[in-house]
Amino acid sequence: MTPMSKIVVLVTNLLCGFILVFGFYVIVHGHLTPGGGFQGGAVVASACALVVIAYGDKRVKERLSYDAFSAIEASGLIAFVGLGFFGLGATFFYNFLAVERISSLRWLFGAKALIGPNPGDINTGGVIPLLNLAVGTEVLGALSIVLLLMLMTYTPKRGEAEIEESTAGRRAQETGEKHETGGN
Amino acid sequence: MLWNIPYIAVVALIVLGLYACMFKSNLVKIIIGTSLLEAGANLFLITLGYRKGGIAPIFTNAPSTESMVLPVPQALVLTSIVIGLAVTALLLSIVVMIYRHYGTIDAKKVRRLRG
Amino acid sequence: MKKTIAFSALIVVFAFFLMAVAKMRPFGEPPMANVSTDWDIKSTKNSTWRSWHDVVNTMVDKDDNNDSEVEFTTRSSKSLVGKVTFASKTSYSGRSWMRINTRGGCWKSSGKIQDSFAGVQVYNKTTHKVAYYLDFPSPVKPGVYEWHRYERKIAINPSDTYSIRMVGIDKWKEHAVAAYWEYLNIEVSGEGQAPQETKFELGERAELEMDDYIIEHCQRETGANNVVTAVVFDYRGFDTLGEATVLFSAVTGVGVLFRRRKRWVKPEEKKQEA
Repeated sequence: MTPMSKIVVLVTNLLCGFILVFGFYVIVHGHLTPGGGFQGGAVVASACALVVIAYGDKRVKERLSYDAFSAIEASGLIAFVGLGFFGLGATFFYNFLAVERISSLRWLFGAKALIGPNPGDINTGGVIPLLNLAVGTEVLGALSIVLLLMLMTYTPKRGEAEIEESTAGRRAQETGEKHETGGN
Repeated sequence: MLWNIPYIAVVALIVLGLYACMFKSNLVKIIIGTSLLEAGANLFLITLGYRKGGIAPIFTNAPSTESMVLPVPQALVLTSIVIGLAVTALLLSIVVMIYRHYGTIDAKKVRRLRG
Repeated sequence: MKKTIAFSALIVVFAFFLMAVAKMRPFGEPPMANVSTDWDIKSTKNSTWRSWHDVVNTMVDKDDNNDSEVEFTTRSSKSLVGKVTFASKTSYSGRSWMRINTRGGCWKSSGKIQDSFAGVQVYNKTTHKVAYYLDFPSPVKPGVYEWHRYERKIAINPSDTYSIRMVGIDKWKEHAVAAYWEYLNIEVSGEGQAPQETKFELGERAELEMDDYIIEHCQRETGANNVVTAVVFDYRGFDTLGEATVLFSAVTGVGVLFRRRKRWVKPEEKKQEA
């Protein structure tokens, strides 16, 4: 895949940070506003998709490693299953942190929630925000892995390969110089 | 009659999805039909859980807690959407493999088993 | 031509199946009977309330009997509030329903929250059994007033006599328990009546105990404001575990399919071979 023009690369550089922040906001505030683990993970994975499209084949293979995302995804699933075992005194997946059920862990998402419409306190929710983080990590790892797999095993046809070699070198030189001075 | 538009949309989505699955020979168009079928089924599940004058079941800055829409079908549909995504990803990767092996993605031409 | 006919027949069958499943009732429901004309309602002695403080102070139960039967007047023509007994004048064939619509709660002075309860009790005076009990959940703290809406539909026998009572019971008989409400609407209907016109109505309130319970108790038990997230991760967390496993195994399947192999026979070379 050839890298795209300078405008797309510049906009990607600007927007990636905002997309990541918005994605993690949707993940962490899953127990207060609409959203949660799966939705926020998809938003963060779209940032990875934007990078893959804008920078092209070679630069992405140098910087983003498939093994790192595989480790992120696996750790997300392990954390999700492991959090279920903590409440095993009552039941599997018991909300042991929720409404001050353990008084010493009140600082870890353990406050009581007001009943009825209220502005929403992030300290509430029990084990639900932790599960949101685990699932969000897993989903962003999974979707990024699918993209990177399809990129890594992409073999262009013979006609396309010649065009890529002639233009990719020139474009990579241009974008490379731009980024070295711009402080990527 | 005006309030039954979601059900009519469900019927339209499923019908279009079935048409694309049955009468098209391009493999990617068949996968698009599968995706339309999933969308129709998910919309049907959510529409069944509607109450008159209902509000989204979220208590943060809610206008009132008079009547809230049922939350359980929405939770089950979240699972269904993710499973649909998984099925679509596997189908598309199989189509990529078919293209590499046969050189074409016409469903009428990929019938013979080649070694 | 045959393809078009078969396909359109499939569309029509499927549309009717969908409408039947979604309960678009083309024949309507039997009409609700008017309570004041069709039923003999006797309400006991009158007393007027000036504020809900009076309700609470009078409804405190400290004895051993099972109810605190307090009588009070109606608030409007539509609502009947108080201890009422009713018996039907006309005989309905088939089943009959009573729909209770109330807004109220439970108040406790102090004490253990689990050992006392309050609610609305529908008592069958002919068979001397409790026909239905609607429980007002305990408040978060003692001395706190919370208001919740309830709507229940109860099957009743039209030849029996029923009474509706507000109940407040404390197990240890040390503290005060009260049930209070703002209105209590009773509607009665029965089958075998003439059906009304056809109606297509989307979104009539369904009788679903599970979803009503989840909406009422979500903030109390899980502390989350988002009911859908609480259902996905707390009430039904095991299904989410299955979903995460499905996603993981699908990505593993894609990884298996895209493995790199050394011998890739490209289509152009195969045609040259053949």
